[in-house]
Amino acid sequence: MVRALPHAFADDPALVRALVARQPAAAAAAWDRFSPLVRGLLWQSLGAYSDVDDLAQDVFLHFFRRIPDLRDPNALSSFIVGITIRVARGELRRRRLRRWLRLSDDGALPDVPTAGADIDAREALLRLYAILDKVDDEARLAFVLRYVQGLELTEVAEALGCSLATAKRRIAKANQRIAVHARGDRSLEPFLDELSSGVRVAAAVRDDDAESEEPSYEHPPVSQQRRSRTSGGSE
Amino acid sequence: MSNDDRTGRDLEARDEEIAHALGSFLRAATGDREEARRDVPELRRRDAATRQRLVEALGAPPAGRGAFGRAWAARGFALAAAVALTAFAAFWFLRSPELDYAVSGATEVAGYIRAESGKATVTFEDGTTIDLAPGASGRVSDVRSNGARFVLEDGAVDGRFEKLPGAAWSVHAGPWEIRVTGTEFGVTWDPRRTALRVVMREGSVVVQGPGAEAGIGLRAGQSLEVGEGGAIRVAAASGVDEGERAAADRGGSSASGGGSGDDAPGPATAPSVAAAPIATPDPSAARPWPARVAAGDYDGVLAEAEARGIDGVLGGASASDLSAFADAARYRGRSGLATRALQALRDRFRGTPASANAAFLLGRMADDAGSAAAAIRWYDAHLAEGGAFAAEAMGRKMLAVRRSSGEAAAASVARAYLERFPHGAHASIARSLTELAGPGAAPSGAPAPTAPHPGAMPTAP
Repeated sequence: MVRALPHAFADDPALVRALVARQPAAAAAAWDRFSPLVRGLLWQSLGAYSDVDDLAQDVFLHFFRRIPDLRDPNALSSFIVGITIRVARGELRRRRLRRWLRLSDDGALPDVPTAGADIDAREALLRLYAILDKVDDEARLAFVLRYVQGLELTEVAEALGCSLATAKRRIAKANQRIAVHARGDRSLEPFLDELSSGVRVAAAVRDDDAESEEPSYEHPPVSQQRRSRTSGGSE
Repeated sequence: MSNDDRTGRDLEARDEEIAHALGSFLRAATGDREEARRDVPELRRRDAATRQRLVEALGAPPAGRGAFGRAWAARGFALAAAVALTAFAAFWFLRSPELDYAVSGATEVAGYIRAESGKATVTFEDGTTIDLAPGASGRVSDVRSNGARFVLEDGAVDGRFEKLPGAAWSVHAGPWEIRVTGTEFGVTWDPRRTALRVVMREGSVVVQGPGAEAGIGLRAGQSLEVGEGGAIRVAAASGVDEGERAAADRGGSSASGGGSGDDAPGPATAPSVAAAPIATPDPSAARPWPARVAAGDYDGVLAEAEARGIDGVLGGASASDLSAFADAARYRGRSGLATRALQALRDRFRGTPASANAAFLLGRMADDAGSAAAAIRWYDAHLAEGGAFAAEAMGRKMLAVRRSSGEAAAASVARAYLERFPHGAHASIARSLTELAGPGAAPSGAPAPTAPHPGAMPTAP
């Protein structure tokens, strides 16, 4: 979700030069180009618990401060992804501390403001974030980078600041933990059932063909049958 | 490839498919959210303000302030340092950078390691090493900043665990757990005979398992064997048998035998391993039902409701609890119970948002049960009461009308939908219906439905 550069900056190296030179127009161009990516990545990583807009601003402030450190101007997207992940990581740790110190309400989840979204999708989203809360921070971020952002393994490792082997382990760990909880979850079941039938459905767009595949409330969740694991592999 | 390997890899592949599916779902939700921002004036204003602030921030001189600014910066730094020191212990406690590790002599797949013809070694960044003998297999799991768990599936391993403050390692073999704080020992596990052997070289461990629930402490120079049938035998390094532990009297005792003055816990401290799990109150029980349902505890909420008495819950619970209870019942496929809960919401909390939302959910349940007429009446009730899911209710009503009365009848609902929700989830279908109907279709803006009395609503089967 990165927009095309405005005419004033023909490519990323030109934008980087302008940012290093602290040209105000470059700040606007960087915001226009990367704010959807940054907001999206923060929201995917953190859910509705945090003020994503404030954190996005933090990302850009860090980005402007550290732009002189960027060695490869063609890697501008990766650079800001790395900064966004660091901000998300810090927010996850702060959130954990707030819970530990009981500074935050640990009651009901805040509503997810998804205007116009299907109620099934809204509930599924809440459930998915509840599952992600059960995964440790690094595995959670690895999952978002790999399966939501669609990054290659090397890109995931770079964004997380770890080795490729460690990135693979974190992704596998996330997969295990998420799958264990997702399989028995009623809200997520429609999205997993559509996986098995080869249909990918967007969260808020369902056409008439997909409507007939909506779950019946009378049928028990089929996915609850898939509970067996190999021995010796439990965490 | 063995059947276990094949099964393990199948599960990994399936886990990855699930991850892909959920990733796609979250990506699509993000896109919808970003698109929705454009329709919210307040968010557009906020974005514009942030953009302007960033422009000003980049245009401002970099951090080279005057004396005044430096003085304030110094005060700020001192305060920040004090806060940082105070918070350091908490963050240290909460930080969770995992120990990194490397595997040599074997292939690792998602933490699973098998040594083939030669020895394999797992080396952790704190210096801890675990050597797998040829043919041995196991899995590294639960890696933390101060240790990890190694699950030995078959064969023999030698472990040298660095003794660092707060280190917490464990080796699991079948039902046995060997807890380690800093030591060197070997473990052999044969899953076919359920036979365990632990040989201590340095330091101490506590071995816990069937017949030794309180844990048996072992020191350097001792060994423990569990044979077929579960008999536990502890021996000294000299081979002197220190006694066979009968199944009847294994609770709470530790290996006898001389200590060598090392700092390992002696027999008296073996009970430091909890003799029995301490019953703790279920922490989830005190949480409100909405929070528990949001966390997936559907069965817990249903069980608690049944313990309290369903009739009592329906007649006395708050609106939020009734909503959560109805959700839990829906998610567990108990549609009759869900219907009763939603009806109770309608009866007891008329005119509230919870009552309007209940109408929508009753409509959905009727829809799923194939009763289009009942579904339409519930959706109309939700719309008349100004419910939060107006877009969904109108979209679903459009589809229900099409199923029951045909496309021409649905076109009028489609027009009304497009007037209110031009970018809604059902907009594309609505446009198709209006195009099919052509200009001669019924005019849009059909009169708003009136809210019928809840008691007149048909119940879902």
